[in-house]
Amino acid sequence: MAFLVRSLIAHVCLASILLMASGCGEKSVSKGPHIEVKLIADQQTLTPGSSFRLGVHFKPEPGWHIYWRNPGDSGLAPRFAWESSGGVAVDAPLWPYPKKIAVGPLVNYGYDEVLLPFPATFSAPPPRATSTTVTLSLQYLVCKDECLPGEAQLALTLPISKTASAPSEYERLFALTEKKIPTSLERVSIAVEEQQDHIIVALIPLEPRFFPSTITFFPEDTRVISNSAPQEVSLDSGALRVSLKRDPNRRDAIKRVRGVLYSPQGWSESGEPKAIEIDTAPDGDVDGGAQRSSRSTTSPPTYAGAENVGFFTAIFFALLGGLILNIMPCVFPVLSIKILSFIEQAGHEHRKIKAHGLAFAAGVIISFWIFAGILLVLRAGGEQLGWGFQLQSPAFVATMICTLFVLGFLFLSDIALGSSIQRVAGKAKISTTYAGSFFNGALATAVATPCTGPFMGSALAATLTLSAIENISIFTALGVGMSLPYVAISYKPELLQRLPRPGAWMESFKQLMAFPLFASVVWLSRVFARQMGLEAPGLDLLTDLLWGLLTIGFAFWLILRARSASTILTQRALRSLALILFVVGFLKGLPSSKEIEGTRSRACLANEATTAEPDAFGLIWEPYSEARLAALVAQGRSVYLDFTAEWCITCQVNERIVFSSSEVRALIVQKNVALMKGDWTTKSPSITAALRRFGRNGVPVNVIIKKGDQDSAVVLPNILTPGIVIAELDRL
Amino acid sequence: MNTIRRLVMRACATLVILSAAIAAPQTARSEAVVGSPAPQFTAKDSTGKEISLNAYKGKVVVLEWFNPNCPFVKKFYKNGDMQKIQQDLGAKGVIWLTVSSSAPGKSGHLTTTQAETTRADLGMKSSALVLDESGAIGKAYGARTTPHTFVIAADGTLAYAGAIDSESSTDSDDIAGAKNYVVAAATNLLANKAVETSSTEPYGCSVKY
Repeated sequence: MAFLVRSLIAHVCLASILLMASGCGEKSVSKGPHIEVKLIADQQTLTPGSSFRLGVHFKPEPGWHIYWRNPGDSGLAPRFAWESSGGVAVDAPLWPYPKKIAVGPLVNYGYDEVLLPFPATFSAPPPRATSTTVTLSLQYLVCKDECLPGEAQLALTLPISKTASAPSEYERLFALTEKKIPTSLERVSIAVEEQQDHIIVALIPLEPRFFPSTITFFPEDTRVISNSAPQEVSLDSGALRVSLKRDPNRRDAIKRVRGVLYSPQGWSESGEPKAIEIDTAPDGDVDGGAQRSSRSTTSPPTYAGAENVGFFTAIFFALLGGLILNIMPCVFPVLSIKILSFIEQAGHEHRKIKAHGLAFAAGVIISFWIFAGILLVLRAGGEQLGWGFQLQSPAFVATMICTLFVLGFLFLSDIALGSSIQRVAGKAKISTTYAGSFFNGALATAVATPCTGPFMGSALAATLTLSAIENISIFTALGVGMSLPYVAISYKPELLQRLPRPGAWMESFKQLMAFPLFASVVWLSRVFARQMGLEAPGLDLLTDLLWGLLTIGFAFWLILRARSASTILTQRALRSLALILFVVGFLKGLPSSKEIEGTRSRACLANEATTAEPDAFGLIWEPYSEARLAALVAQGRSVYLDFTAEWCITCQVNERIVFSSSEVRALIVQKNVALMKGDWTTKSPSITAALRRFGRNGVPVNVIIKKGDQDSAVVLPNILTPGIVIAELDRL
Repeated sequence: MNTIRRLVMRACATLVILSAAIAAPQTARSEAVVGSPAPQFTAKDSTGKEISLNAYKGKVVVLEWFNPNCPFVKKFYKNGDMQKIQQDLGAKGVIWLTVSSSAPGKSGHLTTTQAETTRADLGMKSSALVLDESGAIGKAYGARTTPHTFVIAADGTLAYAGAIDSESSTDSDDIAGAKNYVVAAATNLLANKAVETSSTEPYGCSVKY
C-alpha cells in the first residue's frame, strides 16, 4: 500500500514537473476547431528600447475564413487583449487588405490565411530579467457555412539580449505581409462627396499618374455603405471616381469616410502597393479652398465640368464621322446605286421618296444602336475586368498600334475591303418596299464596318469611359451623320446631280486616309514609349524621328500618285510638294549632334546614379560599377549580377521568368542579396571588362557572388529557370 | 406607313429590352427602410398555418431572424433569455414572429416537422415560427444576419431595424449588461412614444439564402 501511494505521488510529481517544463497553459499555438492560431514575433530576442513586431497568425482550414476589422454584412472581427509581464507595449494591429467573401446576396470582408502584425516597443525591463512574456487573450469567429466562435490564450516568451537581435524564422512572412498593409498615396488629393444615395470617393492626381481600373473599396466603419451593392469606377479628366451606394438605413450625415481602396493591378506601374488607405471627411477639403456642402445633390465638383464640353465635341465629331463614312470607298459605290434605284422605282412621288429616305435612315441608326447596345452589354460584363481604361494599358496601346498599322496598309493597297459583302449588296434585289429601304440602311452600316477603322476606333475609345446614355447619343450621332446625305437627297432629289461621280479620285482618297492612321500610329508609339518609361529628351527625339519617317513616306506616296494625275500641272505640283516634304522629313527626323550628346550624357548620368526605383517585380537594382561591387563584397553581402541588354531577347526572357517567381524574390529578401544590373544596351567599356573577367564576351551573363567572397563567383547558365536560381540562392 | 410603324416599334422594343438588360445589374436589391411602410408578406409557419403581416395591423410586430446553428442565436436561446423577452412582450400584446430564411440544403433549414421540434426543444415563446425557405421575406427586409431584428409599429411603419442588442458577441454573459434595442423600441411604441434608437448595425452569422 505504502509503495503504491509513494509511486503515485512520484508519478504525479513527475507529471507536474513535466507539465510545468512544457509551459502548459503558456503556449504560443492554439489549435481550435478548423483553425490554428499562432503568436509569433519578428525578432528572436528583444533589446531594451527597441521596436519590433508581434504577430497573430491565423490559419483556418481550406474553405474556412476569419474576418477583417469590419466583417461586412455579418460575422465578427477578432478581438485582442494583451498583457505583458514587463516592458512590452503593444499597439493596434496593422490590418492587411482583406478579400470580399460573398455569401449569397450578402458580402463579408475577411481572410483565408493571414498574419496580423502588431507594432510593439520594448522599454525598460525589470532589472534582472533574462526574458519577458507577452500574453494574448483572443476571441475570433471562424466560418465556412457554419460559424464557430473561438477563444485562445496565447503566450510568447522572448529572451532579452543587450546586443541587436537577429530576425526570427518568420521574418519572410512579416516581410510579405508588410506589402499587403494599405499605405497612403503620394501626390494625390482625395475628396469625398456625399449625395442622396451615393458617396463618391474622388482621387485627383497632382501630376499625371497611373490609375488601375479594377478597384474595390473596403469600408472601415460599418453602416456607411451598402456592402453588396456594386461599386462604379470611372475616370474623368484624369480624376478617379469610385461611386459607393450608401447604407439606406443611415440617414444622418456621414462625418468621416475611412477605408481601403484595393486593386489587384496595383496603384503604380510596378504593381505595388495593391491597397491604399483613405480617411477623409466629406466637408473637409484636401486641396484647400472651396467649401462643399455635406448633402449636395446638385452639380458635381468643378473638375468634372470640363467633361461636358468634351461630350458635345464628341457628338459633333461623331456626326462628322458619320458623314465622312459615306465617302469611304466601301460604302459609296453600292449605295449611290441603291438610292438611284429607289428614286427611280418610286417614280416622282415625293412623299414616297421621302419615306424611303427615312426608312433608310432608320435602318442605319438602329444598326448603330444595336452595335452600341452590344458594346454596353460587353462593357457591363467586362467592367469587372476593367475595360474602361484600356488606353492606359501598354498592352492595349501596342495592340491598337498594330491594328491601325495594318489598317493603314490595307487602305494603301488594292485589297478591296469587304468586297464579298459589296457583291452581295449589289446583287440583292432592289426592293421597292419600305422594309427594303430599312434593310438597305442596315446593310449600309454592315458594309461600312471594315472602313470605319479610324472613326470607330476613336469613338470606341471615347465611349469606353462614358455612361450608357452618352454612349447611345454618340452612336446615334454617327448614324445620323451617315444617313444625312440620303435623307437630304430623298427630300431634294435634285441634289443627286451635284453628287460627284465615282472615279480615280476615290482611290486616292482611300489611300490618303491611310496617313491619318499612320499618324495615329506615331502618336500611340510615343504614348507607348512613355508608358514604358522613356522620358524627355530621348522621347522627343524618338517622336521626331517617327514623324520624319511618316513625312518621308507621305512624300513618296505623293510621287507615286502623281503618275496617275489627270493634268501635267497637277503632276508637277504634287512632285514639288513631295520634294519639299522629303527635305522636311529628313530635317525633322535626324537629330543634331548637339542633341545626341545632350541626351546621351544625361542617360549615362542616370545610369550611374543610384536608382531607388523598384522594377516591375518590386526589386531594387543598382547599376553595375566596379567600385560599388567591391564595396558590397567588403560589407560581407551576397551579390546577384545581371548583365543584360535591351536588344538581347534571351536576357529579357530570363529576367521575366526568374524574377516573376515569388520564391526567388522571397529568397533574395531573406538572404539579403544585393542586386546589380549591368546594362550593355549601349557600348560600355567597364561592362565589357567585367564580362571578360567572368570568361564571357556577350550577354546574358548572370553571376552570384557568395557572402563577401569575390572569388566564390558562380556563373549561372545562359538559359535560366527559377529552380536554378533558387538552388544557388539556397546555398548562400 | 404601317410597315414602318411596325418596324420602328419593334426596334424600339428591342432597344428597351437591351437597356433593361444593361440597367438590370445596376439596380440593387430593395431593402426595407426605417420610416417607410414595412413590406407585406404571407407565408406558412411551423404549424402549417398561413401567417400574413396584414392580419396584425393595429399591433406592434417584432421580426426575429433565426438559425438554430448560429452561435449568436444560441447565445440568446441557451439560457432562456430570448424566450423570456418573447414571453414578456407577448404578454403586452406584441406579436413576435421568428423567421427562418435558410434555403433548402443550407445550414439551419427547417421543414415544418423540424421547425415544430425546434420550437418545442427551445421552448420558444414567439407567436409563430415563420418558414421563409425561398428567402423572399428576408430579401424584402434586407435581413443579413441571424439574429437581425425588425420592429413594426401598429400602423405598419418600420420603426426599428438592426441588432437585437448592443453587445456583438457569442457570449451569453454579455446579455445582462447589453442594451436590448428590440425591447426598447417595442416599449417606446407601446407607450406611443417615438423610438429612441431606430437603426443599428445588425450582428450575427449570415442568413443562408
